[in-house]
Amino acid sequence: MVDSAPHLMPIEPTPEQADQWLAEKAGLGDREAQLQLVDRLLNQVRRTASYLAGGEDDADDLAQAAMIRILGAAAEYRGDCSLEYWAERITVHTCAKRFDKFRRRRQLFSRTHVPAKAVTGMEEATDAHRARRRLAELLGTLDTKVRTAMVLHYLNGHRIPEVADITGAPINTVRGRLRTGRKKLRQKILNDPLLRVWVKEVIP
Amino acid sequence: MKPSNQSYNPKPFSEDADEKIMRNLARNDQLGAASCLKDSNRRMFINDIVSAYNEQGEHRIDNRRFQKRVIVGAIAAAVSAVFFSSWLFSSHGIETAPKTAPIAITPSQEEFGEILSVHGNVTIDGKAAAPGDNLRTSEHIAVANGHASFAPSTGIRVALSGRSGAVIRRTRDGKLDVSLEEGTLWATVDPTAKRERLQITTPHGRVTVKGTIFSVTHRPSASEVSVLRGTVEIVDKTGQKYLLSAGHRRIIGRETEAITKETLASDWKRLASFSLIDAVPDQDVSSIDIDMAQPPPAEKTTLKQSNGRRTSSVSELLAQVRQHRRKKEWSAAASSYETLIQQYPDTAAGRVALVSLGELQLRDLHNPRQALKLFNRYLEGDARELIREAMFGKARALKKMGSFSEEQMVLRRFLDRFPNALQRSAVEARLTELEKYFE
Repeated sequence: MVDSAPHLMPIEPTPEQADQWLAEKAGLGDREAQLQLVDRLLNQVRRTASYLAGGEDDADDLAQAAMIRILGAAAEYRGDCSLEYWAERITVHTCAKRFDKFRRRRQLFSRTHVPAKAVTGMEEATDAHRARRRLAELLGTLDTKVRTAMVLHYLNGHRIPEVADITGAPINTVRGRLRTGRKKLRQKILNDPLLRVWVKEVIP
Repeated sequence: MKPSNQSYNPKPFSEDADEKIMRNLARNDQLGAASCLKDSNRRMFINDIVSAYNEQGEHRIDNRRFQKRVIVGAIAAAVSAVFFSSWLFSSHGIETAPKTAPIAITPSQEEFGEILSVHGNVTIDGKAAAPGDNLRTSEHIAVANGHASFAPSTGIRVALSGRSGAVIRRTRDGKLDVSLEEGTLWATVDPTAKRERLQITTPHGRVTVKGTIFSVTHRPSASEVSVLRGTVEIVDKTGQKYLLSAGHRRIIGRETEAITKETLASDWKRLASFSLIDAVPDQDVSSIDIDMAQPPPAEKTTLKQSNGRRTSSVSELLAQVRQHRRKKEWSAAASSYETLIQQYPDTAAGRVALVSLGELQLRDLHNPRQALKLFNRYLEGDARELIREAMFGKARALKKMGSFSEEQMVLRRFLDRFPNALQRSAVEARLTELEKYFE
């Protein structure tokens, strides 16, 4: 339990100070701060976990595992990068660890071919939506490291040096992974009847 | 669009085309599933995560305790085995190998710093101490009357005053641990220096330092911690943790209280006399409000100049704001912010309050016009810390006011200036909406 008397925060802090303060309190076990931290980072963590898991049902489990690790490491957050960037790094590492653990099982159930999922609801009925969903699914069939680089760079908008920093890989390796990812995804798109047409619309 | 089997010319698949596809996917973010969570589900999910974490924490502690017991048990078994075998060999006349030098059981003495100044009767392990003497871990420093200051590591200065005694050790996790046996200890820790971690231990609790100036007094009945600058973390005997910020003191196990200005002034003077700080801060410290968390010099001057008009300090006003916010008394919170802005216009707190009040006006008081004024006022100033928030807030205020063309302009400027901002996806989505609207 932490003394949460209001006077403990000396001045209205800058955003960086407030982040560090929040992480510190969460790390010390203050439940309110923990809830606030999870609330703030959940969207981002869940989104990254969903993409890294290839839109699978275990995305929530991954997000939960990543959030628990984030809470566990909160006391060590030093404020030298944004809270979101720091959380992204932990999310990616948690997912990578999980994938390593289940790699054998994944190899048994090869995912080179992914059947398209049925879509329901008015909104989801549009072809463009289906195509994008399919593309996200195909993204999930790429190799973990390649997928991680693709997700961080293209979907989460990190620059290549940042991707290298988050994944702990050299910059040129990240470039190579992105190149491989694009090439493989391109082949998968060409083999997919739905996406072939959609791509024609995106790139006239 | 029907799925077609017609062959597609792969020529457009240049790197640009690939990028385009990926960007399109990102923009529409179908798997950004978090947004699909309903409010109640989301709350439940968040609660589940925090509960799971806290439960795991307890398990982790239990596991650690168990592991500790196993290790202690194993060591005890090994020691008994050695004693038993030596007894067996000696009592049965079995010859053993020639005795070698005994293994040192006292911790190795590591040199870690030197005495800076000595006034009065100061001893190290019973021998008189002098400035320049080296200090080693596990040596007992005693001050009978007067004071002594020493530098255990770069960026850390410690002084003992009055009748006091301490031993410095190194903890297993590499921290410098000053065990205060009696009297008062003063410490200045430079947060910017690359330094070792420091903790002060008394029988009543432990004080962990975050980069700060503070003192710890240990009496047989209780230990008292006072913080002049920065923050310290206190862990008491029961394991409860507290954070103590500048201008406050706490007797471990009791309530936190503010330090009076007179005490603060005399504490600063004492620190200077112990050579822990080079000089007492420029200002008459008794005239500065209790927030002494290193505000920039310009702000200190402003505070001093307009001191006569003031009724509440920054921390008091912010405490009021927080109290009103907790009770959802938005108007009262706004008026406290206004007072703060009025009384401390040139301080960091005053500038930040502009954005905070703007957010409050926009989100809780539904007054976008007033919010816009506040965001504009912040943007016109020199402050840069919250510029993204202010610009984003301005765009939202304009949206609420229905000034869509102006909103579009602000959002475009925002994207140009901060292409990697966190609000980027929201800004892009809104710009797309606006483009459709103007078509």
